[in-house]
Amino acid sequence: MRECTLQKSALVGILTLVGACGAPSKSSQSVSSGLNATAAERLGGICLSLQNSQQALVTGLKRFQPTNCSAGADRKQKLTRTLSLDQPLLDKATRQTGSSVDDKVLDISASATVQLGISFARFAAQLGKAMADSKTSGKPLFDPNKQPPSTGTLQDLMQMQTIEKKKLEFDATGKSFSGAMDVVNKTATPKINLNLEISGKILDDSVVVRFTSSGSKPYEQSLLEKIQGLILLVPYDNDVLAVLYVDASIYQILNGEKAMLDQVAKALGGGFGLVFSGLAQVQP
Amino acid sequence: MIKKTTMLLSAFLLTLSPLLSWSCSNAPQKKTQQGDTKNAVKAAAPTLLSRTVYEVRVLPLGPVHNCESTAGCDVDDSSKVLVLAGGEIVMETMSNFSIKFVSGSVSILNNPALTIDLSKSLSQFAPDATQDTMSGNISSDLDGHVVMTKRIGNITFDPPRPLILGPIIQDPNDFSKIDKVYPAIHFKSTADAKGPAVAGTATIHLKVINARESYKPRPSAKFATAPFEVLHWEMSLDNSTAATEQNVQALLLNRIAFYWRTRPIQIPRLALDTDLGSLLGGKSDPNTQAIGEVRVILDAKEITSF
Repeated sequence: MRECTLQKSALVGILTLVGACGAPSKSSQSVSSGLNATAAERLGGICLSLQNSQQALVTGLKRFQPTNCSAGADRKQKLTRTLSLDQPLLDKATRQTGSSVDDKVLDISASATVQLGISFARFAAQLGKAMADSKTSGKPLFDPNKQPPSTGTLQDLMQMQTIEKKKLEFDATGKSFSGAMDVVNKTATPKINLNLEISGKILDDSVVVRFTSSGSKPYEQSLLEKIQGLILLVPYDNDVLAVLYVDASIYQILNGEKAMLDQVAKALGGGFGLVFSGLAQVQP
Repeated sequence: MIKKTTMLLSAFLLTLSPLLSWSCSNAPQKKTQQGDTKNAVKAAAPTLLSRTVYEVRVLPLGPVHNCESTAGCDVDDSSKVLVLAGGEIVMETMSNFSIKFVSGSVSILNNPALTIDLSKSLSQFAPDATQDTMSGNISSDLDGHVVMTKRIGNITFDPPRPLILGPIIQDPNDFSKIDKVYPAIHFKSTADAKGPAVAGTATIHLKVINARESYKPRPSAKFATAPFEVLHWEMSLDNSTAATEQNVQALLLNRIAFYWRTRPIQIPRLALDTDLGSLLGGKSDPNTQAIGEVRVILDAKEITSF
């Protein structure tokens, strides 16, 4: 297992970029990224740019639309560990996957927009320090076996592990990056085994990360059949707006659709909360 | 940032994975295996997952003198075994897979004095979502195949007792060789509104009987009619441990058998073995002594999922 590292030039580029982003960013193209832009305009503008010029990053995401970015911004929430999904953007469907009537998958598409409560400048400074410390000590920046905080749920019995399959690297432009990693549960139940392809781009003053699992995993190998999503980090009003779109397909193990959806929605909300809390704290 | 984001993706997947908000408590907890208490996250209270109406049959495990000629002693039509009592009991399964009998009782041999009320008998074992009863108490054994707990409801267990297998079982064959004895588990509770204090020591034998057993729903079943596979596993008390009312309160029966459907997760059958006197709250008289040990079989009739 190898620890991910960024190329030095790309790292410097990112830190330089984000370090200058404590306020709404100014764009020569439209008011959507200007100092007076609302959050809806800001996110709508970035998402429009994504849709027009970075289709590979957003293709196939069921709920991604610039208008949804704008609408989601109006419903942005403050950071907590148990976030609510954006209900108007929540979509679900049950799909038959095998010959038995019990072979079903719940497809869920969800989104959330969160105000992280930290300036991009501070965010960048903390990340830079963590990286410097890591370089000095020679230790990995992030522990691949690090577990999230206890929740008092059965999830505490799991031991997730990330295994880097392809080192995250920037291309020659220094603005696009890609990599691959496996995400597995080391304990016996539930089985989770996903192979994620990661790609992303520095887009103006924002960062976009796309993740997509390879293929569809059978139930016997992974409770999650597949997952794809997008994380968007946008400096705005001396803060960071984090947007996440995700499409997840989960094997249906509860008979009641409402119970299943409730549990998945809670898990997604908790997942979003965990991701965004981590981003806000930055500390590895 | 990119690195952080990718690493956080794994954490996100962790939370997403098994519908992981299946909670065991409504309060902050510590991580039992990793000891991370500072960052404990407040968990939601367990919610109602399903309500199951069970057909109940009470069978004698030994010969009952003149049973056939006694009112209330019947031959079961489908299994052809003697049945001392029949009826219905309702059980609720919570989102942390704790179970609670909420209503229903059956009278042995039509005798009101021999009425089994599982909700009363197992009252101390019932989870209480309003209290921090499971806080920091779960752990796992056998490489994550068995969920252990050191507290349920009002009862504590030291060392932790096995609670359930799984509970998310994607390949039953992975569980087929489970066969382990957990010795000298001390349990106790304090007296409260649910009942008097209990205390004792038990040795539990956990064993998978058949990882892929065919279960045929009873004729009265409405939730399913065709046979389907279940994982049949049992917890039994060591033979040297006498059945007592206190054991029953702690769900430490001579034997408790789970017939666990893995997809969708359901418990179509439960079988509970203990002596009738213990099940009746320590009642000991010629009637209970004459019947001795019984098997209470619960077969699902209706399962309402939420």
